[in-house]
Amino acid sequence: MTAPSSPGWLRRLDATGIPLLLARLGVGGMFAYLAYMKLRDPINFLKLTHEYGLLPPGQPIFLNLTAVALPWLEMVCAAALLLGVGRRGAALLIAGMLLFFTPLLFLHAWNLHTAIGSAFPTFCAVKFDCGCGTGEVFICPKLAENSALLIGALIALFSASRRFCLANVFTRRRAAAPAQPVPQRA
Amino acid sequence: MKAVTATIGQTALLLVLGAAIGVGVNTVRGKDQIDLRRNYFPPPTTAPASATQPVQKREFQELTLDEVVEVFDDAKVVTGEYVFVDARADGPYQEGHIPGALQCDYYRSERYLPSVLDRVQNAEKVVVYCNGGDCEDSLLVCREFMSLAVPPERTYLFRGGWEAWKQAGEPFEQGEK
Repeated sequence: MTAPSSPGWLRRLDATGIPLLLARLGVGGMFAYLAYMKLRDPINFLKLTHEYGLLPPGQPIFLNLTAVALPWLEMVCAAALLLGVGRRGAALLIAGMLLFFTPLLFLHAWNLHTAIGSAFPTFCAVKFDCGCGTGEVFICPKLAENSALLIGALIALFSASRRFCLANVFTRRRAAAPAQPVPQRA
Repeated sequence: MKAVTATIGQTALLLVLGAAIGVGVNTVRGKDQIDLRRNYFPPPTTAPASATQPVQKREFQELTLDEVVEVFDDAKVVTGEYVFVDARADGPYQEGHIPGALQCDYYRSERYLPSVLDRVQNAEKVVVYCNGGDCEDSLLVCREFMSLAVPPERTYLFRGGWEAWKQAGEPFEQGEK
């Protein structure tokens, strides 16, 4: 899934497996931590999810299911990235989540800034609990963090390397296994 | 093309796995279980403003800190005619609450309502509070009381909540009730 127009040095760097390993450890580790923080207090995560007002109020099952399933989805993706099994699927899901939630964060912070300008004179002064698992955060470092995570997820998605991935061990073993001898009749 | 198909397959598998584990763990979870069918955030009970009724009436009467202190100092608190209800979770409640306040954590209300409801229904005045600021748990408890036949004219909301009470240096109690 690498871009065919990638310059040679980029391919050589990718082939070392180091950028992929760093991206997997960084994004996977961070998502595992954020998921764990959400799972510690699911009720609080439910409240914070509700504050975004995205899901239909007349159908509580959608909001409740999101609060129940989303942290575990993050945890499963983090584990897949860290182990290197189903890496591209996990990276695609994480990138999707980041692309969906980061503009929402921006809008929420912008609304707070315009609504209570006295408390938040500049956009970067906006501080709130975004439901990301880290409590109250300043918006600008949070947006920078999400951008870095998105770059990491895209590296994990598009890297052609398979080094340091657990899935690679299984495929190598399968390829190296000798063919079963056909039993011969006496 | 094969890689794209494999990636989509992995994505679908991870989605199903994450949702299944989430629902499964929630089912066996004890006190922090989320009831998937419960509407935790019911809409306001007052009608929206209209041409004939332009000013929207408040859902519940609200008390300032001074008014709450006045209620707290009344002898009716001792006789149980005035009742304080703390809508926060175990941790913050045990760290400190208004002396004599009954705990009724809105999100785990099935644990608290059996012991609280009788006293609330028989009280002349019920003051409900949560952390203060933009916390809405006390409002949600008031709505739940109303749905359980507690007259709204006897239910009072203390918006300043625990933060205002603590900052004013008023007495408090710690631990479980």
